[in-house]
Amino acid sequence: MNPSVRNTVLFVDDEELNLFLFEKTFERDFIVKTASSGIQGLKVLEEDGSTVKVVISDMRMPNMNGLEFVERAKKSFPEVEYFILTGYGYTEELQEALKSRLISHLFHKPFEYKKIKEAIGL
Amino acid sequence: MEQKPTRRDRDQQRFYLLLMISAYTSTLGFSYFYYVAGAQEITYKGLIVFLLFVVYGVCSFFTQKLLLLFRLSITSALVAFLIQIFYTGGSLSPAVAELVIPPLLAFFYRPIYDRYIFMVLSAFGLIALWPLTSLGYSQNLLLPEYEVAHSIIASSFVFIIVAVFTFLFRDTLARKNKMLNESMTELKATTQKLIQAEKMASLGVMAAGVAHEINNPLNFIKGGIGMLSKELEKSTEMTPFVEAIEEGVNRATLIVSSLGHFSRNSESMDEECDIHQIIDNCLVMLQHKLKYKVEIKKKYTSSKHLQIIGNEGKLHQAMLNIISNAEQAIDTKGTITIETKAKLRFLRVTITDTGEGISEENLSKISDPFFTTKPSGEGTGLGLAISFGIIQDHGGKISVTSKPSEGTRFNILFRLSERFQ
Repeated sequence: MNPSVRNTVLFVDDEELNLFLFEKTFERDFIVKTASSGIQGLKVLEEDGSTVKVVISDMRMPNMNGLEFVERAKKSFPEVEYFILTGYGYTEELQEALKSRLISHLFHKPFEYKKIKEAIGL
Repeated sequence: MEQKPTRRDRDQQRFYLLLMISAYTSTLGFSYFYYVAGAQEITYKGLIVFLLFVVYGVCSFFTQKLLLLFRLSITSALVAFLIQIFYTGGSLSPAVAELVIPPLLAFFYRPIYDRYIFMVLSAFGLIALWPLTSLGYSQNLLLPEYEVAHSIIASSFVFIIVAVFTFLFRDTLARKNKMLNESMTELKATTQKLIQAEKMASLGVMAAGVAHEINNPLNFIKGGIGMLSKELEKSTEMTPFVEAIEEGVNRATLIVSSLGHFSRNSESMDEECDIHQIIDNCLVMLQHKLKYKVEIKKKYTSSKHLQIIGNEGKLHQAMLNIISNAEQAIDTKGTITIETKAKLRFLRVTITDTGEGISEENLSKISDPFFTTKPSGEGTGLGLAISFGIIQDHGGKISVTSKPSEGTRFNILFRLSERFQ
């Protein structure tokens, strides 16, 4: 695939190893940007908001959890598609977020390459 | 809280109604007696008291406050009684005692629950009766030939009143005791259930925490081996090692995700639950117990859209208890057959084991909290009680059939979600 038509995915997780693995797993499919916290994630979006098509965020992170981050990001970038990748199972919070279409889909850790690739459909 | 009258209220209403009726009959009946006996002076007084009670009775229709009216009646009856004694030396009918004692009771023992109090006070009335009547006879208000008849009628009247009241309220004490016992049992059961729920909840929090912590390292392994496998694909020698790691990660993932289902600590009853998924998760959790002992036969229906609306975590708990019980019923080797069938809007789940079975005597008790056949310390007797409760909370029906030494069958009928039909 030609790099110029590849889409950009932003991945947010507080674990460096997860960021590294995600980036390496998907680098052939998308341009992967990473952020290690919600605040950083917002910064990345502000800088390259126009190119980012998909945001995948971890749920449990210090200061700002995944949903809080998505909520804030969605206000400024409503056209981006948001996903949560959680190791914490299915909570009422997440169920609500799915129902209200705040997030498009929920992935569980450990992530499966195929599932994520199919779901985000880029 | 609740607005409908309690049994206690009804008892009190009944008590005051009886007081009214006995007040009417006594005043009217005795007035008639004095009229026949020619003691006009007493007849008039009796009729006046009767009218007074009629007024109370009529008022009670409008106010519905019998209690208040009887408090009023006590005061007036007491005053009238004392005036009579003062002026005539107690010449008024002994039935006055009846007119005074029950209202006194009504005043001082508002909730009449103890018939013994009633009996004792009535006995006091009877004792007080004799000196007063004999004092009255000395005033010659009543003709001597009526004195014997008067004494007999008056005292038997009081006896009848006491007997009727005692009879009608005879079971209140027993009832109170029974209610107390029942609420004690209930309290015990609720406490235990709360403890159990608390235990499950804290276990859930822990399990969820563990699951989260394990999922991250699992993610490292899975991501790592995913990348490595692409590199190692070329060397067939390495393939088994890659596969071993992948198998390990997949299995660990399955266990952690099953654990997560059990620990979902929510109260919501509107989750879409997949019963097959739930049973499979239970089997994963019980794997270590089932492994070398029980053969699991799954006969799942292939029908689609088998969602049940409810609480997923609780359904997991319910099914786990039932399957776990089936496993425990099997001594050395056996089979557990799990069958599901969809029919119209219902899903039938049948769990059959080839275990030791349940005797007919015990079969009716298995849903009772604390009923267990296990040695003390090994089972709380709460597992199935909780399962039954959860299934009923989901609108499900559960029935159990069993033959000793042949096995037990649990039949569960769930109502399917209509969202998909």
